Amino acid sequence: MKLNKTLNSILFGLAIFSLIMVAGCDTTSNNSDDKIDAPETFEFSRNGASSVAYPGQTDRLNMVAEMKAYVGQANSGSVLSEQDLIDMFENTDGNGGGNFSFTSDRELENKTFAPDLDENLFTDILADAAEASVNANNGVRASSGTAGLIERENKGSDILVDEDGREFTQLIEKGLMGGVFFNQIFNVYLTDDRIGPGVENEALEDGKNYTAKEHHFDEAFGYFGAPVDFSSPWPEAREDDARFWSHYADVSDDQIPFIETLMNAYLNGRTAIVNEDQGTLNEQVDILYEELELLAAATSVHYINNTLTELSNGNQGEAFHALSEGWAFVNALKYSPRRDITLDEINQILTTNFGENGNFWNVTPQGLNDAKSTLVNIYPALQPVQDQL
Amino acid sequence: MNKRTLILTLSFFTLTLIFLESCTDSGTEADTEFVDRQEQLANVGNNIIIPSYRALQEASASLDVAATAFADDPNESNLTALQNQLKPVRLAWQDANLFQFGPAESLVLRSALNTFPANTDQINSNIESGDYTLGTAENQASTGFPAVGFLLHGVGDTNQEILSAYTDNSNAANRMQYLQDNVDFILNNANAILNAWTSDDGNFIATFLSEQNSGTDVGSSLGMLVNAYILHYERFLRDVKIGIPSGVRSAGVPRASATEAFYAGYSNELAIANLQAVERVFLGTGLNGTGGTGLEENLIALDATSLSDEITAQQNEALTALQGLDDPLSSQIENNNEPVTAAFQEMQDVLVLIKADMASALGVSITFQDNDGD
Repeated sequence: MKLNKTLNSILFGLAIFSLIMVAGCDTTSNNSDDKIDAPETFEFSRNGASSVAYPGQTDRLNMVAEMKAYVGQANSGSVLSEQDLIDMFENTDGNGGGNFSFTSDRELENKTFAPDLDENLFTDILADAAEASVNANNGVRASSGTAGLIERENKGSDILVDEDGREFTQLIEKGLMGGVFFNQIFNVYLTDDRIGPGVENEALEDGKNYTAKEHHFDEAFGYFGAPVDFSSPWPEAREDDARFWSHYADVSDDQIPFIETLMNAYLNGRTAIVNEDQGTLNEQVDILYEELELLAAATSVHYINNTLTELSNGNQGEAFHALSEGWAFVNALKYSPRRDITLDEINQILTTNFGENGNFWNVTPQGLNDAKSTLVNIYPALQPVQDQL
Repeated sequence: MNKRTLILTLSFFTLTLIFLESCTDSGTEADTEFVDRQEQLANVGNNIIIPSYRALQEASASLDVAATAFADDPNESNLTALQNQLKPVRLAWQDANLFQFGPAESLVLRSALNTFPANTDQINSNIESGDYTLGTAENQASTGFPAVGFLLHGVGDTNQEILSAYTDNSNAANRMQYLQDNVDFILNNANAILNAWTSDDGNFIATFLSEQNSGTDVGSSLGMLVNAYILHYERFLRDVKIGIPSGVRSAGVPRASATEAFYAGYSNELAIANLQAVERVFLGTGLNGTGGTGLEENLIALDATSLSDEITAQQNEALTALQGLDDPLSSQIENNNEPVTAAFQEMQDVLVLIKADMASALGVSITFQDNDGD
């Protein structure tokens, strides 16, 4: 039948058109030589098997998550053991002294920023948390100079804060995101020592499917906490897949396209390693240093805004929660050796702007606005979105 | 070819079209209500918000003058004059407190000026030590109108006794200083918010009316206004002024001392003024009484006239219920609380209409209940 034949031709044409168009949306294609194009997800392979591995980073992400959960028990009145906390920080016996739900031969403490260790920054917080948890257990309410419980008004549940109003779970969780994760990305894995021109990129590591250089870069990706297919906009249904730093990339993604910028830098950087292209790799590393620092600054402003909102709404507990987050994100700015902000400026924000003598109970709107201006002046990219973050 | 192939192929083609659609960045949205919305924002900004802040600033300046006179010559007549000057400032605040976004949020204006009930222990300890910074998180409930209300009405049973607190009693000089510092703090904040909206430096009115902020999304002027308006209505009018003192928010156990002007005794008058201010923004009535474009006209332009009528009617019901209560509201609560809880219910009925129906008709998302969830 003639009509049928014509229809067939049209349909065949449509089908071909469809195939071409669908294929056209795919950006990967093969090159003539050994060079590869950047893939869309953080997946690289050699001889048909994945060449990407960062189990050590995943272990440490899990350690921080379980430490946070343990410390969080104090919010409902459980007494914390300082020894348990130290065991988790040091990963005693490979299972955090029996406190981790998994075993691992890695630990957090030996990856912590050395000056933080010198100052006992985290071990002091852990000791304070254990001590304060006794107050929580006795139902002591927090006030200036007294560690205790304060209600998060929007949730109707309490959080444990130190004598300066700072929430322990935030100081520990977000604190370690800086002191360990950022420290390792900035001061270890993105340095020339690990991914510079002199690092082995041909021979595979013993029993592994990756070169030393590939692996080091992947470890820098592992500390970002992103799913391999992290992309913008990130679906709410998969919110939990974006962990730690990548979660905050998503939080501010509407204002500053962190997901795309950071993922492209990771994807292009790893591709450049495969392609033995140190120049391109260095460009991507520059982007990672700059944008990860900006992410911490943007997240700091986000929580300063949050604090102003909660104070406006009369929610003191919510305000202290938000400011505790802000404290840890501002603190995280100190870990990049290329930071645009000075240590004095960080100190000024943490110990004066966020309340005289580093005491949140002394915080004023003026101090919060001053901290925000400092950050916006140092990071001009924040300027147009400073009130939306 | 058979029918099945035909359907399959056509389906594939359709899918492709959908897929291609999702590849492109679609998004030009017809904006037919733009004119009404801009007119409304201009009216609310120029004829309600700025005049309200100006009135607050003027009343605060008068309060400052009266406080200085009292400090210079602490006598009963100057005390009475100062007490009389506090009330107009607190009434002016009822017109100005609906707009807790932008500069008001940066200044944390509402919490700075009007956190109640006043924390009298903290106030007394500040007075005793003479060492305090007003505006800190710790001093939120020991600063502003409620603190001044306590200092002018609550530090003695009679005006003679109150006067003694500033002349003879222990810490009299410190108490006078604390009073003056609080009045200065109020005036400084009133100056700051007016400047933020009107001065060349601040000029927030320009931001508020800018084309960039003329949509209905989160962060748009209408989005900020409506969110602040509803949040205020829910938590800071319905709950804080009526619900909490009457015990609705505390398992039916009344807390009469949690009323707004517990020491001065005109809490209900303040609540009525606040509800009238809420109504004014809805109707678009300027602070001077002139009619203009408000949320009402915006709803009518969106074919939601019956909702608009319903809101107006229910607001009048709530107003009538509040007007049926007596000051001091604390006594009304202690002696006959039932009409107070009934008034709460009338206010609750308004809330349902504005928070659910009005916000959705306007296309504004309510964002204030969101929190980080961590």
